[in-house]
Amino acid sequence: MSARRFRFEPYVEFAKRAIAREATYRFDVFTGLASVVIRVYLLRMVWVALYAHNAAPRDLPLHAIITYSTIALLMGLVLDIDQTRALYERLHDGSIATDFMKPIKVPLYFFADGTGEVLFHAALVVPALCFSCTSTCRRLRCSGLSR
Amino acid sequence: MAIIETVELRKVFRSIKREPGLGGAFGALFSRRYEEKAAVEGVSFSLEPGEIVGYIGPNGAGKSTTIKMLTGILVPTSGTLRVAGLVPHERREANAENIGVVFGQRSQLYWDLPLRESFELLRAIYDVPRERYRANLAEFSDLLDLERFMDTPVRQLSLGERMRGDFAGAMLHDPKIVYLDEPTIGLDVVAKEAIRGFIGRVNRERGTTVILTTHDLADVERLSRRIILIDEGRVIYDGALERLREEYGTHRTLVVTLAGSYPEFAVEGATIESREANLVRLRFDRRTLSAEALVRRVMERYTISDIAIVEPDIESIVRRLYLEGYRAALPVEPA
Repeated sequence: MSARRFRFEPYVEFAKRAIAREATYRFDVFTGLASVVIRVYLLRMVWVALYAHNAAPRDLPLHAIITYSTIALLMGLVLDIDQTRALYERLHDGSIATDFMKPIKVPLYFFADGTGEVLFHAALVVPALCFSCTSTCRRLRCSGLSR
Repeated sequence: MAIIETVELRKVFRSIKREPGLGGAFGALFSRRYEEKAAVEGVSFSLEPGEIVGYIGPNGAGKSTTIKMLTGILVPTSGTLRVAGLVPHERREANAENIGVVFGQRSQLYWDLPLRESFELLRAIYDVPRERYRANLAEFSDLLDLERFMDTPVRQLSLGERMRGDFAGAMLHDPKIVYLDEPTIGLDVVAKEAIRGFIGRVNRERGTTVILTTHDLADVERLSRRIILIDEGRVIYDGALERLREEYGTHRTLVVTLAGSYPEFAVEGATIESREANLVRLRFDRRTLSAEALVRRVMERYTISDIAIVEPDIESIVRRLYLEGYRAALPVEPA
């Protein structure tokens, strides 16, 4: 009984198809982009307002708290995938049978699909990250709020 | 040498039996009773390479369970099976490389992606050499007229187009065996004919073995000479379609158009199946009365303008088999 040679190609393709699938609906993509930028902007505004009207903690300057909360928000968005739900749905409607009828490792298929989604979400937060970096740097240069 | 061989294949499903209501739901957390149900009960058959077999039976007969065991996604409770020399549930992935599957009610194509990208993905999954992939795609595209919707997302395809795509997808890697589960369900007559033509051609030219599971017996009549009839998990008939027709199609119908007005119409040896004005349908048993004798009897007593003999269709024969079940007089014939 000869062992089958493991190939990465199908899983790379699954990840690529997951990215393509996520990018299918233009409206979803652009509203998603705008939503992330707005969320980052609002988050920043909340912290700026809080620091402007209250005494700031000594070891936690404004730029640090904005950086921390922005990264936390963006990480949450990037990793916001639910493969458990996808698996449940495929089990529930029986379509998982077609996955098992293919010469693939099904858990790896779900992993690759999830990886594709994460990569797509990561690309989606890049504009928000750029916006956040430039606005925080400008504020650091222009105002004394961070000190 | 058989490409598929099953011996006394059996599959028993075990399910929790609980009392109804909230009490039953909580009670089942602590004390459980199980119920066993045999979906497949001692199924044995073998298929030679290049055969097309109609695997038919009523709902819940065990067809899909058998197919799932043959594809390796269900482990049999007992019995043995070999598909292209492999035990499917022990080597699911290797077995999957030898088979193609088409479900009429489920697609293996990517819903949001164009057909072409789904095919590319299947090429990567099955590791089809580029040359072979291009040649197969060109041929299937030609046979199934895929080119005009090749770049359309699958979700925008009609059922007929999607099914044609599914067929091409299932054949791209030149499988040795293809399992077709209700492949023409919901299709119009033109699409059905295109699909049937495609299956027949792939079988003839590539020697692909086909197991066709369907409720549309026209598919079976058009494509296969052998059928395996399964009911309540058991094979009740395995043999030639023609033999089934011979042995079970004992009753024929004589359709008579009367030239005159005959309010009282009766012929000895035949029963009136239906009558609409001058059109009478007479049912007779060909073992006790020949068609020629019946026609003579009719013509001796009545003036007729037209006459025709209708052979029993396979659907009515199979319906009768479902209702009457296995008859000892009709032993299972090894193919």
